[in-house]
Amino acid sequence: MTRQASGRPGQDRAWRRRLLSPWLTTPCLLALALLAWNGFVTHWRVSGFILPAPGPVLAEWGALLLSPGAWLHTGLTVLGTLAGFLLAAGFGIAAGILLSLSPTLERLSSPFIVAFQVFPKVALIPLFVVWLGFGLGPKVLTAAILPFYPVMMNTLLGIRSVPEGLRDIMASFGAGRLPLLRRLELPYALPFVFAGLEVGIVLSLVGTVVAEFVSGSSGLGYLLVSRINSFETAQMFAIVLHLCLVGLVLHGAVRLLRRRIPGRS
Amino acid sequence: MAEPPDVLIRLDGVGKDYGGGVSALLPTSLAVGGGEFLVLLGPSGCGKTTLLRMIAGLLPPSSGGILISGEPLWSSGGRCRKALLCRLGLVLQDANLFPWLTAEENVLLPLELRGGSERGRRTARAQAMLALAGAGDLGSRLPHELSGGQRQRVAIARALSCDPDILLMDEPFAALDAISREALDLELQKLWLETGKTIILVTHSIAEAAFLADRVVLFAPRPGRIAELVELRFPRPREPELMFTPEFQQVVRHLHERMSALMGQA
Ligand SMILES: Nc1ncnc2c1ncn2[C@@H]1O[C@H](COP(=O)(O)OP(=O)(O)O)[C@@H](O)[C@H]1O
Ligand SMILES: [Mg+2]
Repeated sequence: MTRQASGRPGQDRAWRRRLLSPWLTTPCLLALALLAWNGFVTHWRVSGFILPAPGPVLAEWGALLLSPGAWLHTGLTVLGTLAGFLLAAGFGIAAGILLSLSPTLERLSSPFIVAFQVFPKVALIPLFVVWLGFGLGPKVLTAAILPFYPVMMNTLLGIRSVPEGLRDIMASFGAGRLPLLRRLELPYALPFVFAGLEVGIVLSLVGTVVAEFVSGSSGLGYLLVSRINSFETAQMFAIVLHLCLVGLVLHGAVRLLRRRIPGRS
Repeated sequence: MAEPPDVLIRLDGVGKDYGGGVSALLPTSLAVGGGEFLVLLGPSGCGKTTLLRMIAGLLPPSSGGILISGEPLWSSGGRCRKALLCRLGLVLQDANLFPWLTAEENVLLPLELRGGSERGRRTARAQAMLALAGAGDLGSRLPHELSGGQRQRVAIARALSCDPDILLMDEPFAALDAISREALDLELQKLWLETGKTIILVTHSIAEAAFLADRVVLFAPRPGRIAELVELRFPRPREPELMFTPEFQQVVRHLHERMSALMGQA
């Protein structure tokens, strides 16, 4: 009898895991949250200006998804985000490599790097507007500056993490500086770089949207502010949801790239 | 002890001081013959790795020099002569395979870095070396799909890929289980007999040293130095049964007593 029962715990665990799969739990938890939200709003009779019920918000989001104008704004936000992100990726990786090459350079620059990192960079957006006008310029610049530091530091960290043994092996092949970088340091650092890029793409989106708050005549950030100004709170919430979707898609795209790194499971 | 007839590697008063009071290796002189199987034996901390790294061109000596076929490996400025590196193959305790490359790509890497031959010949060479090291069927595997022993075979194939005449091995099988270790010791001997390479192997296993070596260099710690040279004349190829013969046991006992005495002094 005990013997028969012994198969059970394993089976139970397998079932639990299947039941707790995110594909099942996430929609359930979301539905629960929406119900709670709805209950809260109706029970306390919260004004639609302060917090609209989920129904109207979802309806507005549906309308947004069907409106070509909204997609134009979405496209502009994505454009600013991607342009800034690519700049940050390029310069961040290059700067990380540069710092890894020279410990002196790293020592000299590290106070400035730290200062730059702790400084709230969005405070510079008005200045960017003065420099670059109201177009894409300030957005791209902000979207490039926010993720620069994590991309650079992760690249540096990745190169620093190369085990001494692998360096010894490369040295025993007589490999010069460039082959060392190309064949060992960069491939080794790639997962670190991608971890930085995953954080970075989200920061790029943040940068773009904040720049649009300040400077824009287009983009989802601009749209959001204009809806608040006209007290269309439900539409504003719909834009927030939409931004969440955009963020998920962008982040997912970077994760998908990361999955394609060979040789690491 | 008489010098070997054709000296391939000459250590000429080579020593290393890391700057911490005690020398890691006192100035050491030793001549290694072409085709010799030399084993560096000693407890840890007696400068075996330090010496091997200096011969491998990874660590500049603090004093003295190293000659390979009469050519100095280290210039006076502490720079290594890159042209001589292609004569050296290196195997470390950890296989240190590149995790994102397959076994075959790992073996190809030094060939690609050195350039020269065309792609097809390089691939053929890599496959031949994998086969020689007993890993002929593992070429498409990634390192994390290999056992410790298999990884070390691939590392040996990689070290051989540019056809060096000297193989430097720092405790290559120390992390393996006893059975794999014995198998790899036997295969290493076979490979050495077939290829005629000169091998310098570091170990702290007395039995492994006595089984493999033409000569055992016994090291003493603090400061690191050579304590004794022991020549072993057991015929080749040596079989595992050798280890149960009284002659072999006698060598092991001798080395063991010497090593215990050296540890006691320290
Ligand atoms: N990079 C290093 N810096 C300072 N001391 C070292 C370094 N490498 C080794 N040593 C010291 O040199 C001595 C010899 O070390 P090592 O050559 O690794 O010995 P073994 O390989 O025989 O165990 C030890 O006392 C060790 O602490
Ligand atoms: Mg050692």
